[in-house]
Amino acid sequence: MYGRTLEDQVLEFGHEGVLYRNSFMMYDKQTESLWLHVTGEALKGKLKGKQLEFLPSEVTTWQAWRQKHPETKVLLGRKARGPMGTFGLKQQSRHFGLSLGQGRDVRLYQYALLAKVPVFNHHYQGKAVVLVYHQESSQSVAYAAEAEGQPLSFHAVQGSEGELLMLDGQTRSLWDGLQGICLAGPMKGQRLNRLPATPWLTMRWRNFFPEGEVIGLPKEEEPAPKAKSEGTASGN
Amino acid sequence: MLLTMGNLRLNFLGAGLLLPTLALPAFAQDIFSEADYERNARQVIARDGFPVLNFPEMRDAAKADRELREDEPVIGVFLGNEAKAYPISVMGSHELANDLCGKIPIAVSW
Repeated sequence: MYGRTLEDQVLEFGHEGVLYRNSFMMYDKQTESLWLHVTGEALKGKLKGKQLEFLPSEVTTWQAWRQKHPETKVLLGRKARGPMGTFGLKQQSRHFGLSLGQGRDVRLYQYALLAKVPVFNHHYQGKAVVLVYHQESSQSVAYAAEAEGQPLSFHAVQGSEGELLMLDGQTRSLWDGLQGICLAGPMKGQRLNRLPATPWLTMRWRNFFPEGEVIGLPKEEEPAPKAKSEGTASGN
Repeated sequence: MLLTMGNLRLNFLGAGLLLPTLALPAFAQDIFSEADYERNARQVIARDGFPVLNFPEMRDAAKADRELREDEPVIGVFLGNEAKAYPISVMGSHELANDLCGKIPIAVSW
């Protein structure tokens, strides 16, 4: 999800009809520059090198989104043929991961790992980060792991109604995992900074970022693929 | 299952084109450069040959309940006090939407 505003100019995008590294290219109607939709970066044309602003969005189930935003508007229309038109996020969750970062500097955390460690403390670009995965709603979020200048580390606490809560080890404050808001304790009212992160199908991600780092379960713990996998392109 | 998933790209394009897989080994320093683009990009359909969505009409949640399964994945965005959901099943036949959310210009892609 990107903002279409670039330096006070509002862009509109069309489909270039070009496939590049398994991904389609967009062009903007204002300058006809070509953009990678997966990174939001212009590869060619007047705006070459420019980067679209990443806007926070979620990939979650219809049920979870509706509960959180009952007033939501919804795009309805013809569904795609094939698995994309019919698959469920929960059943297929092992094929997904959370891609952390923006542009080409990204790293994928597989849901198979996050399902086992739903609050995952890690480092990215030299900074402490925490990744949160709520299996019930198939939602994942990444935050900078600090508040009021203090580095924090978290662990998961099960809420009474299935919500994902976290306790930080430094101040023992209680946080809402998916909202990043502190509910109780010394940090009450503080909000964690959300980092750019997007859920991806692991296979598509590996095709697109062959050099990219995938953080997942050790091989022997991964769900066994039934057919030839995409692993040859992983570059790991 | 993975083989089926491997055909996603075909289903996205919906045109029944048989597309080559372009997962070629890349020179790390060169990937996503204009030169790499010129080498590896393939024009597979005409520009605008794909039905991008422009400011699509949206329905309310009650109407969506009749068309979406509970566990169906959606891309949700909440900006400027407005919430919009783009089911992946529908985005799969468009790939890209120009839209506004809370008056903010956004591009939704899948």
